[in-house]
Amino acid sequence: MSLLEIKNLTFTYPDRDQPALRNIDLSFDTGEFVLLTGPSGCGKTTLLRQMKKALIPYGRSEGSVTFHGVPISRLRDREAAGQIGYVFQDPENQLVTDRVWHELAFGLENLGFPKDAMDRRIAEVSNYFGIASWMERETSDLSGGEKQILNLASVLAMEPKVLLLDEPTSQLDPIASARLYDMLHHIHAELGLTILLSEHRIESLYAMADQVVRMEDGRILAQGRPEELARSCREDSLDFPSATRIWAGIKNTGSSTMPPLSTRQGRAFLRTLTSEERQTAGSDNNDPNVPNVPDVPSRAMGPAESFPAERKQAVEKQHLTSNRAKQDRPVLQARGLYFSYPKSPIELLRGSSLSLSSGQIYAIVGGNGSGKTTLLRLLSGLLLPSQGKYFCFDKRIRSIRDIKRGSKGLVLLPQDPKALFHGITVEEEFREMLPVPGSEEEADRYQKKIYALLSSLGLFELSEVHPYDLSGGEAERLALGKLLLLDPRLLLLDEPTKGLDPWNKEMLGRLLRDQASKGKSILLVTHDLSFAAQYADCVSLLFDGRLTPSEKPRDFFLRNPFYTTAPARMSAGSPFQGITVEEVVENIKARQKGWNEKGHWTSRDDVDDENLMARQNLLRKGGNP
Amino acid sequence: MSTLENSAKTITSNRDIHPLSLFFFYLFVILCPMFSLHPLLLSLSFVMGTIYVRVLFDRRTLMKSLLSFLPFALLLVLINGLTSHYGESILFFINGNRITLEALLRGFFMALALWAVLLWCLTFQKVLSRDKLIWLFSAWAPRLGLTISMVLHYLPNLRSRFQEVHDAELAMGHEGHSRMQKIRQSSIEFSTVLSWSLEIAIETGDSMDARGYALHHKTSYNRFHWNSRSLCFLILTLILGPLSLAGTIRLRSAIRFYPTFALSKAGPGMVFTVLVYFCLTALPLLSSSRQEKGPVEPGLLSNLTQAESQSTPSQLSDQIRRKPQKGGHQ
Repeated sequence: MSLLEIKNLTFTYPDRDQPALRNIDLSFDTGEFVLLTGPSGCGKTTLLRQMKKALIPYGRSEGSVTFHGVPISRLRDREAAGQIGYVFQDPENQLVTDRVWHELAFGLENLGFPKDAMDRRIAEVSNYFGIASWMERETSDLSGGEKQILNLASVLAMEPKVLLLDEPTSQLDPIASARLYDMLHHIHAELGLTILLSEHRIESLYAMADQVVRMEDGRILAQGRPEELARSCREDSLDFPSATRIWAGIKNTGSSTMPPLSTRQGRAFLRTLTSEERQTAGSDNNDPNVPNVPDVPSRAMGPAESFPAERKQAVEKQHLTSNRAKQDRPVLQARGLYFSYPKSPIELLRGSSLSLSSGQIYAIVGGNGSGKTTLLRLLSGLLLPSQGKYFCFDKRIRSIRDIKRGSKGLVLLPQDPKALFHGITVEEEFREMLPVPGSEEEADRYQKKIYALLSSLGLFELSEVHPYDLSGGEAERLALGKLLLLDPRLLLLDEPTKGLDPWNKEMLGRLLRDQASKGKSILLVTHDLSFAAQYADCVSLLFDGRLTPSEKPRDFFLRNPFYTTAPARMSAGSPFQGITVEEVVENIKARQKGWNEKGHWTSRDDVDDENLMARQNLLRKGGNP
Repeated sequence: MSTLENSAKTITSNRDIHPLSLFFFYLFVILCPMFSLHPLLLSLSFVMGTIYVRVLFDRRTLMKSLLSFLPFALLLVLINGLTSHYGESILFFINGNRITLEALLRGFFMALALWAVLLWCLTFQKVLSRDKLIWLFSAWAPRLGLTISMVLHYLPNLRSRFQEVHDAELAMGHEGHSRMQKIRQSSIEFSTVLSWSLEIAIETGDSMDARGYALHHKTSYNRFHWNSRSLCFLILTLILGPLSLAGTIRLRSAIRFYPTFALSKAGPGMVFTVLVYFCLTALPLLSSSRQEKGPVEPGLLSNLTQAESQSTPSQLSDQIRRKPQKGGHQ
C-alpha cells in the first residue's frame, strides 16, 4: 500500500459553487519526491492542506485522503502532527518564538518530549543543517532564507514521515532558494523522506523529482515521471524548465528524443545540435569559405549573427525608444549617492549613480541585502543621502518634501502590496484613490475609469472580493492599479515579482511594457533575473554599494557566467546564445534555417546594430557577406 | 583599580548558573536592606553592589547609574524631611513645621537603601538574561513563557510593518498637513497595520497547529543545565540568605531614628549578620569563572533597541563580518 492515497477527491469551499479540487486521484509511495506545478489558484495549496489534519479547510469534500490507509481526518492528533510535516510559504509568518532554540523545540514541546530527548533531537537537527551556531540568535535577526531553513529544521526535528512544502521559496531570492533545494535534495536522498513540494521555480527541481503532477483549475492535467511529462511540453508552457521548453520549441525540426530536464541536460542537448550540424557539414570542411566551427566557441561573442524578422523589429523599436529617450531629459538622475543608516557603521550605498528617461523600464538587480530597497527609498525621497546629488523631474532633491508625488509625479510600490490595502472590496480600493466626485457626470467619469482599469488589469470579476482574499498576482495588480489611478510619471517598484507564478509574472511584465509605451518611466528592483531579462530596457547590478553602468539586458546577462538566467547559462558557449527561452529557440531555428537554405554555415562577423538591416537583407537573398 | 579592571576582562556574568539559584540569591540580597536601615548593612550592600556593577559593566555605566539616581536620592531626603516632623534636633522651621536632623537622616538612609537595591537590580538585568527571566516566570504559568516569547517576537515585526505602511502612504503623497488630516492619516495607517497583522496571525496560528499546538501534555524546553557550580551557589544562598534575613529582622531594633538618632553597640548578633550578608553579596564575585569576556546575552527588551540600529538581518551578518575582533553579536 502506498503511503498517501487520494481517491476521487472533490472539495468545495463554503459559499462557493465551483469546487476547488475535482476528482483528484493520486498516490505517493514512501521515499518519493513529488513536484506539484500549476498556476496560482489551481488548487495546489488546497490539495496540500487536505493531507494535514490540523489544516484541512472547512468545506464539502467527497472522496478520501488516507495516510497508511487511515483517513487523515481520523488520524490521532499526535500522529497527524508528528508524522506529517508542513512548511508554509512565508518564512516570517510561520515563526512562532523569538529564539532559534525555542523554535526548534516548539514542535517537540507540543509532542510532550522529555528534556533529554529534546536535547538530542535539537542537537542532531541543528548539526545536520549546520545551524548549531544560531541557537541563541533571535529569529527576527535571520534573513529570509535562514528563516525558512529554520522552519524546515523545526519541522524535521519532529521526525515526520512525510514533508509537505507549499511554495517554500516564493519569498526568497535565488541564492537562498538554491540552498533550500539543496537541503531538500539531501534530506530526500539520505533520509528517504517522502516530499511533496508545490513550486514555480522548477529549473532545478524537475530532474530531482520522482513524480510530477501538473494541475490546473482544480484538476490534474498530467502526472507521471518528469521525462514522460516533458514530452507534452510546449515552448510557451511556463510550468516546465527552460531546457525542456527550448527542446519543445524546436522538436519538430527533428532533434534528439529525450527532452532535457535541467540546465546541464540542456547544455548537452545544445551540444548535440551543433554536432549534428557539424556532421552533416563534414563534407564541406575543406572549403576555404567555410570557417571551422570550433568545438566550444568562446563566450565573448557579439550578438548572434542571424535575427529573424520579428526579433529585428523588436530590436529596432527598442532602439527607437532609447533614441527618443536620449533626446528627452532624464526623469530621474542620481549621481554619487552615499548612504548609511544612522546607527549602522556599514555604508550601504557608496557612490551609486543612475539615470532614467521616460518610457524606459530600468531594472536593478542584486543579491539580498545589497541595499536595493534602501536605494528605492532614497529615490522616492523617504530617506536622504548623506552625499551625492539627486534630481527628480529636473528638480534637485534636498529634502523629503521636494519630490513631486502622486499625480504626474512619483509613486512607490512596496514589497508587500498589503501595505496599501485599506478597503473592503477591490472596487472600493480604487475608488478611494480618486477624489470625491463633485457632480454626477464626474462620478460617472470616475466610475468608467475604474471599470476600465479593472478590466485592463484582469480584476473585473474580482471587484467585490476583499483584497486579502486575492492571490499574490492579483494583489500585486491591485496595488499597481491603485498607484496608476494617481496618474504618475515615474513608478518605483520594489520586488514586484515576489511570490508570483510565471503566468502572473508575464501578465505583470506586459502591463509594465504597456505603461512604458505610454511614456511612464519604471524603475524596478528585483532579484528575478529572467523577469529583468525579458521586460527591462536596461539592467544594472547593485554591488558593494555601487551600481554598474546600465546595459541592455542582452549584453548584461550574456556577459555573466553565474549571475544570469537559466537559458543564458545553458546556451553559453554555444552558437545559440540567448537570455530567454524564446531567444534561444529563435537562434537555433534561424541557424538551422540558414544552414538548410544555404547548405553551409553563414560566417560569423560581429554584427553592428546599425548594419543589422543590411545584413538581414543579404542573408535573405542568400548571399555570403 | 587596575586589578579589578583586569579581572573585569576575565570575569563573565555568571552565565552558567542556573536561574533558580540566581533567583533565590537576588531574593535575599534585595530583601535584606529593605528590612533594616542599619548603616553598616546598607553601606555594605551599596559597596558590594557598586563593585559588582563595575565588574559587569564599565566605569562609565557605573558613574552614569550612580549619578542618575543622585537627584532622586536628594528628593527622598527632602521629602522625608518635609513630611516627617518627629525628632529632637531641630534645624529650622518652614511654615510652622519642624525640619529635624533625624528626619533628614532617615530620608538619607532610605535613599541609600533604595540606591543599593537599584544597583543590584542593574546587575540583575545583566545576569538574568531574557531567556532565564522568561523561564522563571513560566515556572508559575507554563504557557506564559511561550506567550512572552511570541510577544517579543511579534513586536519588532509590528514596528517594521508600521514603518512600511507609513512609508508607502508617504510615497503616495498621502500626508496629513493639518492636525485633523494627520489624525485621519494615522488612523488609516493603524487600521491597515491591524488588518495586516491579524491576517498574519492566522498564518502563525496555522503554523502552530501544524506542529501540534492543540495537543495536551506539553513539556517545556530550556537550555539550562544544573552543574556543580549552580548547585553550590544555590546551597550557599539557601544557607546564607535566610540567616542574613533573620539577622536583619532582628537588627531592626539596633537602629533608632526618633526621637534621637541612636545605634546600639555592635554586639555579636550584628557582627554575625553583617558577616553573613557580606558572604552572601560576595558570592557572585567569588563564583565567576575565569574566561575571556565573551558575547553577552541580550536583556529583556534588547530586540526592540536592536531593531533601531539594525535595519536588515543581513546587515547584522555584515556587521559580524566587519568586526571580527568583537566576536559574536550583541
